[in-house]
Order: sequence, then structure tokens, then C-alpha cells
Amino acid sequence: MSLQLVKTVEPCYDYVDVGTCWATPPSRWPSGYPSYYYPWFGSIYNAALVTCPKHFEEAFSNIYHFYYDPGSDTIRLNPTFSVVYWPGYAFKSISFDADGNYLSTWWGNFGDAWYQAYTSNGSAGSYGRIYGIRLGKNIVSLDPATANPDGVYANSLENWPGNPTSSFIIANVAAGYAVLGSGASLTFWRNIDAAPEKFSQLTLPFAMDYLCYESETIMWAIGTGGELAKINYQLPRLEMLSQVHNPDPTVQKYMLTFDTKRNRLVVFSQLPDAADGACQSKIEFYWPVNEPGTLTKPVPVNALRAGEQITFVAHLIGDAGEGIASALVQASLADPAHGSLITPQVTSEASGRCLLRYQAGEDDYTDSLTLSYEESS
Amino acid sequence: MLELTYIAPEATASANLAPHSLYFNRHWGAFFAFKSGTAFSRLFHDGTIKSTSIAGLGALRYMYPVAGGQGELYCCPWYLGNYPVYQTWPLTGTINDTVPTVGYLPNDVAASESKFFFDPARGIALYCASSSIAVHDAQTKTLIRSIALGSGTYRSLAWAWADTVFCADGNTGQVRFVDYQQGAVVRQGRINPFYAATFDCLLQVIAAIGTDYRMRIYSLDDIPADLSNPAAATPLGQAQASRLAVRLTDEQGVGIAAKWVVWSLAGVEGGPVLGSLEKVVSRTDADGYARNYYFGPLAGTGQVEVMCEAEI
Repeated sequence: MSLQLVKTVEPCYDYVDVGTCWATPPSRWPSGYPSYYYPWFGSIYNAALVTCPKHFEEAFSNIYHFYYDPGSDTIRLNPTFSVVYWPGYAFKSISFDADGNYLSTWWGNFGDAWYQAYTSNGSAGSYGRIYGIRLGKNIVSLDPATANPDGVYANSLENWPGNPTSSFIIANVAAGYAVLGSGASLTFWRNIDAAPEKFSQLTLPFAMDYLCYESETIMWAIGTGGELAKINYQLPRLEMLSQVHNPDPTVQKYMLTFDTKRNRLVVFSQLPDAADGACQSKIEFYWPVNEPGTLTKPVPVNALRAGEQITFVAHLIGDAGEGIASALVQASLADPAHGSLITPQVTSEASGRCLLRYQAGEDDYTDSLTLSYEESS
Repeated sequence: MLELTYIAPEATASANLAPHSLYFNRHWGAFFAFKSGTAFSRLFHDGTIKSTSIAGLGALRYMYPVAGGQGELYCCPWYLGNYPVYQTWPLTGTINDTVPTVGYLPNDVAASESKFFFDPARGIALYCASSSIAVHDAQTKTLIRSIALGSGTYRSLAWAWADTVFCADGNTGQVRFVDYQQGAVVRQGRINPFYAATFDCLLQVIAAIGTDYRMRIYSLDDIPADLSNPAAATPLGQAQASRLAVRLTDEQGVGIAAKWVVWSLAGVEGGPVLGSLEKVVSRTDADGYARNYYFGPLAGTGQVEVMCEAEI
């Protein structure tokens, strides 16, 4: 399985343009600007945002959540901004349609900003709700529109065995599973409503930037270098390793969510703003598709002797060396063939291993065996 | 010499491998290749190696990988002291410390990696000290027995089949299969000198990275070079049983086990066939000997020819 890039929306958001820049901004706003620039004394905050050549009233500061809301069929990005007006920061919840087109912005108040700063990493979970982590210690259910805790579900990790803390979380409340992530480590919990039990853990081959929920068994993780991992969190095991298309080392943060309606992965890349302050961050959409990378050469595992049945082993593997299961692998002999194939086609095992059998002829000769595969789905 | 069934046309990236750090993983049906005991990659039978940044799949930092079970990987975080053994996660090979330690290695652990084998079912840990294998109780560390391997520097312990481990000497290519319950070498052979080697217990083949860093696969089929003349332990005679033996050997003179030898009698210079054999076929033992009994005729004298053929 691999990921096929479907679409890129770049930039995905346009900062509000002030229309003015100064080599040395004044301390207060001159007249003629939006009314919300003038509370208190109308001071200019974060003057760098309007210092030429920059001319926008806002810039992403921290981005706390990125999730697909199945209820409204929208994608939500919840950043705090540095802004040029009082008090110098703001919280907005930005909604996009399922194709990444900008829809609207919801402005939060100071309390919302506070909540925003103390909750993070929201991801869809069971009941179609969004679950995040508050202060690294509580699983909280979030209002999809505002990302504020809505009190529907709260579970203090402090009461769990070992008193875990977490930077990332997947909460699958209905099925009783939770996944906590920190650095490259994932811990898997079950029975979280009653007596939480850590039943397994997995160390990813990369440091995580974000996790997201796909289903009651599958989740995804994205790494700081754009690495992607599909994980079955009930077994648990890695199902796939991949990468975003053309990983960009300037990306400041990767976030991802899964559109459960269209079965595709949505990746947000926070990029540095342009020289004039314009937003350059982007959203990419990926289809998880079966796209095996390599079929290793067939290797005989018993003696190549006249009249014998010979077993060959090969592996069908993805880009990351992961086994590709259930793909149809076909064998063929170049003409003129002297021996014959007992198993001209096989299905790859869960590990990607394929075993083929060949009946050798009776004379001295050379046969050429070639393998090929086709996707099973 | 065991039969070489495959040799990779190109060298495997040696920078990704530490000597003697090759382990079979039954969950992958392929191999772990370690680099200095910290990072590892997947290595496949044809020599394909996946060791890019996203294929590292984990690391065993500050731990010794330990072969064990039936093609499983365990690990020993030696820095914890007392050398505990933990399971690893099947897919990633990283330590699974969510379950208690499954046992302990003997205190010789400071020697180096690839010299240990852990059998969770038997509760024993093996340590290969060059020319012998020490079998320890994995809980008490008590030495149960020591098994001599013969001269050499053996290591690369790996599960072969029930109660039997594979080990090999990279300098000479000598291979031993050791029944650690019976305390005996049950089979031996030779492959080319190697850089790292292990045993694929699912396909029953030896995988070795040669000194030229090319992947080689060996089946357990020895290549016979010589079948000795039948020898009688006791003189053939009238109305008596005599024990006969032949030895099947490879080009190095090492006995080849588990091959069928077909026995027959013939009269000499047109004379009658005198006496009879106990068996028509017999199988070579661990040292390459196939044995039979000749029963002399109840009456009469003469000559008889005992003939053997090895079925290859």
C-alpha cells in the first residue's frame, strides 16, 4: 500500500490584507482602518507584520488542531494568530470544504484562545466527535466548531496506571481504546472508561508531529519529516510506512486528518510565510492505494537438480520494506521452457512473502523465471 | 559443503551491517540486519536491503538483539543490569517492555551480540563461547550443560528446528546444528566464510552475507563427493551376522547426513550370491555413516560382492 497524491491546495488560507505597510510602523493606527483596530488606544501590535514589505494583519502563531468534522463534512484548522491589533493575538477556527476550499472563519474570544492554548491535537473519534488532549493530562471532547472542551467526555490520565502524560491522543471512546503519543512512542490503552489498561506500545521510526483517527481499528501518524504511518491500534502493528509527496525541510509542522466520508488522508503543512507576509501553508489530499514497490528476485531454497521440485522465495514489499499482502504474483518461464511451473501464480502472504514451486526437467538446461504482480484491490 | 542455491549478483550495502548481526524474523519471513546493534534494516533473500530513513523501523539502542523462540527476536537492555530479556514487537523489532522480562542471559553477556539464544518455552538461555555452547537456566542463570562444538569461533546462534540451534564460524564457514536438550551436535556442514549469517527456520535455509558482502543462500543439501567402500566391523563368515558400514562425505571429508544408501549383493565372477543383507536401504547418520548387517550363508563358502549406491 502506498499513498497517491490527489490534490494540493496551496496556499490554503489568505491572511487578511491591511493594504498598507510602513518602513517604520507608527505606534498607533491612523484613521481609516477596520473598527476592531481601535479598542483602548488603538495601538499597533506585532508591528513586524506591517513592516514593509509585509502587509498582513495576521500570521499563524501556533496551530493546535487539524481535524475532519464528519458532522459538518468540513475540515477545521484551529490556529492562534499573531495580530496587529489589541491584544496582539487571536484565535480563529478556519473551516474548509472537503476539497480544501476555504469556507469561513469563526472568531473566538479570549476564553476561546485560552482553551485553544490548553487543548491540542484534536482528532475525530467515535460518535463522530472530536477528541483532544488538555494539558497533556485529560482526554476531552471538543466542540467541532470552536475546539472548546464541551464536557461530553473527560478522562483524566492521572488516574491511569503509571500516570501517563501525552502530547498526542487518539480517543476511541465507544470501543474503549485510546492511543497516547509522545515523541516517537505510542502507547495503546483499552477499557478507558472503567479500568484503563496499557496493553501495548510501539516505537515509530520517526518523531511524531500529529496523529489522526481513521476507524475503530486504524489510525495514522505523521512525522516531523513528513513520514506517514498507518497503524492498527487494536493489534497493534504498523500497517504501512510512507511519506508525503516531496517532503519540504522548511515545513514547520505537519498535521493530518482522515476524511472518513471519502476515505482519504488530508495533510496540512505549515510553511514559513512569504517575504511579504502572505500565507504559504498548504493542504494535500492522498488516497491510500495498493502500490507495491519492489518484487525481490526469486531465490531457490533447495537444490537445483534434474527432476526435482524446486521452491523459490520472493518478497513483495513497499517503499519502506513493508510486506504487501494479498497481491497476486505471477510467474512465467521464458521460451523455450524446459521445466514447468507447479504454481504459476500465488497470493502474497501477510509478510509479503511468496513461495513458488517449479518442476525441473531431466536434462541439463537453463530456464529463466520471471515474476510480476498485479494489485488485488 | 552445503549446497549454494543462490548468490546475489551485487554486494549488499555493507555500511548498513555490523559483522555477525543478522537475524531471521519469522513475522517478516526475512531478516533483520543490524548496524552496530542500534539501527536495523530489512534484508531479503535476494540481497535487497531496505534501510532508508523511513524504513529503519525502529532501533534497539543500548540493547543486544537476541535470537530466540522459533524465529523470534528478543532483546537485552544490558544497561539495566542483570541482563534481562524482553520480547520485541513482531513488526518493528523494538522492545516490548509492556510485559515482564521473560528471563535473563548469563553474565557473560558483556562478550558481544549474536552469541546468545533464548528459548522461552524451555526457559533456557544459550551462550556460545567460541568452541562450546553453555546452556543456562534463564531464571537462575545456573549452568545446565556445556556442549563442545570443536575448534573454531562459533556464533550467529539461531533457531533451526525443535530444540536445535544453528551456529557457524565465519572464518572457516563451519556450520553446526546443536540439540541443546540432548547436548550434542546433530548435524554439521560447511559454507563459504562469511561476514554475517543466520538460519531461516521457515524455509530451512542458511542465509549468509559473504566476505564480499554478497547474499548467499544455502540449502541443507550437502554435495556428496565420496562414498567409501563398505567396511565390515566383524569378518564375514558362515552363519554369522557381520556389521557393515559405508560413509558418505563431502569434498572436505565431512560426513553427509540423512541420505539414503542402497545396498545390494552380487556373486563374484559368475558365482552365486551368498548370504543376504538385513536392509536394502539405510540412511546416513550425523557423521555420514549408513549401516547394515550381512548374514552369512548357513552352508557353503565363496566370495560375495557388497555394493552400495548413494541416492543423490
